[in-house]
Amino acid sequence: MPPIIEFLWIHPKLLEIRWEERIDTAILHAQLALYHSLQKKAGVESLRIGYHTLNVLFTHEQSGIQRITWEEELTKDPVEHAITSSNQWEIPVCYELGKDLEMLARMKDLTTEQLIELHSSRSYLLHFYGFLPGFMYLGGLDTTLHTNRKITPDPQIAAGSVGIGGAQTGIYTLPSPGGWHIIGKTPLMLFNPEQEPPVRPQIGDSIVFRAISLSAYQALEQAISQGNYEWNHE
Amino acid sequence: MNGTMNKSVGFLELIQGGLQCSIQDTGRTQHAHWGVPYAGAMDTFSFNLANHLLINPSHAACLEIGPAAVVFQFHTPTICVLTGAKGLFLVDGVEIQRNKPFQVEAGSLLRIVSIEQGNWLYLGVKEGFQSPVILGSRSWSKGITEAWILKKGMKLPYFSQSHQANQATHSRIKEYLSETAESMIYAYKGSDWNLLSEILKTTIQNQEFELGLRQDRMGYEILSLPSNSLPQLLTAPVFPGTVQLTPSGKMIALMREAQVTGGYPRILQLNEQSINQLSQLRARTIIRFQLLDF
Repeated sequence: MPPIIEFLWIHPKLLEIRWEERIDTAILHAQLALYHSLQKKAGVESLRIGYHTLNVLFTHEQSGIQRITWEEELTKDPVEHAITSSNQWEIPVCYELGKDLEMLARMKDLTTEQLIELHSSRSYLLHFYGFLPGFMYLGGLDTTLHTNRKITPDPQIAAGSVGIGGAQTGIYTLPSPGGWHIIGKTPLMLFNPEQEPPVRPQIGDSIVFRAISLSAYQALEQAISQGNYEWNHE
Repeated sequence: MNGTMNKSVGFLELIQGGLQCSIQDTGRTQHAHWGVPYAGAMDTFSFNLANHLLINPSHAACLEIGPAAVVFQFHTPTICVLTGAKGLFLVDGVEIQRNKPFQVEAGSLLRIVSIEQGNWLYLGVKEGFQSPVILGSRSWSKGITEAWILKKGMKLPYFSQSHQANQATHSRIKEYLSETAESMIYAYKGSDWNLLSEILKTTIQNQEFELGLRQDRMGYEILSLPSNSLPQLLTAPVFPGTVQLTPSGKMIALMREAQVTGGYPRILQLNEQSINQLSQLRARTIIRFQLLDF
């Protein structure tokens, strides 16, 4: 397990636990081990994960002695139990609907088929949610596909758009301005505020993209609007 | 609170104006790890005061009114209060004082004629507005609640109240809206404070800064430090009150509707009182930072 490198108290109710600054599966496992153990502790109000941080918001201000006690406890907390169960979720993507697909393939000196293959042939790890409700921060994009964000962001990217920005790939869950290169679109509803929880994949789960045709996309879109769709996962 | 079944529902209707108006309560504190903004009232002090004066539950939803003229009509009687920004407010042509509950009748017109000091005004009604609860809160938020911008003709539900004097509350009300031009904002060192050069750290603590024109529920711009070449950071959690430093030197104080993660250096973290205070300061106001130790 990668060691914690710092306990940083931002204020008497907010602790930031830090690991080395990199995107790393082992760091996520260390974060999740602490996450699950902290969830059960009295006095913890909420927990938030970034790529290399775990932020703990306490219900009450912690005194100097309480802060040291937390640090000692968290340092010696057993971290073997890591991920107990991890699901893999399949996200169908119609790459034909990616408006920047051809442009990006040309930039990378790839055919569109090669680009789709590179994107859809591996599984991605869900590190955390952020940016928009239900927006997944995924680790594991093939380095060939790492691409700087657009210099001029698009004013409106449609919900369901699958994009690449920097070393990341992700799915816009709401219409939003954005600078990512859009390579496809999924008909899935990734965030449903009417459900609790409003998202399906959990932090630590993995995501795979499956290429589908335009007609399959349209069929799925209709099934989803009628409530006749269950996510594939194992 | 039994007898809910016998309550009759009345409506507040937007007649004119209505920019930056939304239903807000204490927000969604338990859903940020799914990417859901905290939301909730910009100025929680004035929000809490409204519910306190009406002897409402502390989480009862208020209408948050942005800094522009607006006209509403009440469809049924109720008891209300206005807190927060200062300005000229009329009910059926009669001036209404802030922080004093008042009775409205069926058909009463509430006119926010002007907001003269501050940005956000809170209209509380007895028992709170009754718009739907989504993920534990009535706060309007894009992508979460069906309504997230107030539109003309929209009707906001509340429970009608027959005539009865609101029990007077005589608690002392501390004023946040300061009369002086300069305002002190209290902040803790942020997660990435140590990335700053000694010169920048000194500048932040000693110089005056001007609030930029961009002010909304997501963030307030603060001008301006020199441009910098701080490293790009991995995305990490942010909170209302986190102050981010952009490469151009502009600072952005994240407010209630901000995204829950960010990649800019997080240089300061405002305390709750200063988030409220900053929310009521207008563009071009000069502020200073006072660092908090603990």
